[in-house]
Amino acid sequence: MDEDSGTQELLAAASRGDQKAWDLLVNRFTRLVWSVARSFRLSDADAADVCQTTWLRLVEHLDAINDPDRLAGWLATTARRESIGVLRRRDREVPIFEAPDDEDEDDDQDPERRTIEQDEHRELWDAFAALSERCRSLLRVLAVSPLESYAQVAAALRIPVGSIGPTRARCLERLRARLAT
Amino acid sequence: MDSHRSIGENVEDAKLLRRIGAMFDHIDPVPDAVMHAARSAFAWRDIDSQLAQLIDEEELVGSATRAHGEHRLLTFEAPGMTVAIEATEVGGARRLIGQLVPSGPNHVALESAAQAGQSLTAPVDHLGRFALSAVPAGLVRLRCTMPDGTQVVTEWVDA
Repeated sequence: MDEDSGTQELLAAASRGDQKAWDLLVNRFTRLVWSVARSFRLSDADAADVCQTTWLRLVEHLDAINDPDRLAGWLATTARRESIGVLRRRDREVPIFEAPDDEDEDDDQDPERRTIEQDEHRELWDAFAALSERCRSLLRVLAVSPLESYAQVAAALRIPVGSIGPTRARCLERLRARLAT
Repeated sequence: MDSHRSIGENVEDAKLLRRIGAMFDHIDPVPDAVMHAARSAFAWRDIDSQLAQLIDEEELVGSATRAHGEHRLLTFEAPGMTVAIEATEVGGARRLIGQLVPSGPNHVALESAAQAGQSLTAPVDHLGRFALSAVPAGLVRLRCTMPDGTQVVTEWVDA
């Protein structure tokens, strides 16, 4: 078993208790889980909690996932649900007599506000940052999703399966237009 | 093939998406600690226990409870067993009161995802009732052993 092993093979081996197979699944899909949490603008600590919870839930439900193409969608859906739960708890923690402040938007915590030094990604970042939030979330998550799982990942992001193709194409088109200027 | 085509993947799109992925690997990589926690999660695998799934979660939020802490009702179900829990949090202290239906186990154990290998235990009375205080923060789950030896464990919850 290695990085090239199929997801089905890794799932089956992990079900039999193989830690190596599990580690390979983690390597393959953690970027997806992380990107979903980030699309909810969660801080480092909250995104880390969402990732841990999502993987713990997969441990519980490993045997229920028979179709390997469903795994990415399952992880994205679980990460989305956990992210919403974190936001709800954060909201509850705001005392009712106090207005929410902007601390959550801390520059160090929010990758979307982090400045990038002049480097190979700078031009792409400038164009990307100018896109709508919906486009940014979709493209970031799809960039780390397997092609065969697009429909299910999109469903996890609440994008109707029928419009995933056109939405993605439109977002990429806008990005290209900005890169060209 | 058809599904790929309907999604509209082409070489240029794939290339641009790969660049986006590489950009985020650079500016917002998954922290090592997160990768480590994800790998370690596998240690919690427990194929011998029945999983009691969370089937209902009710939040009691009124202005009064909001000012005085959190109050939630959680219901888990496994084949032949229901676990009902009332979770309260007041001033940072978390407490669980619960009931097993049917009764049977004479104690429950509370496991914390943050503290592997340790658990809090509480006795269960003849009506299946139990109470746990000083519940650790973060994800927890309850485990109980049925009279026939079967173990039932709830899903992880941030109670």
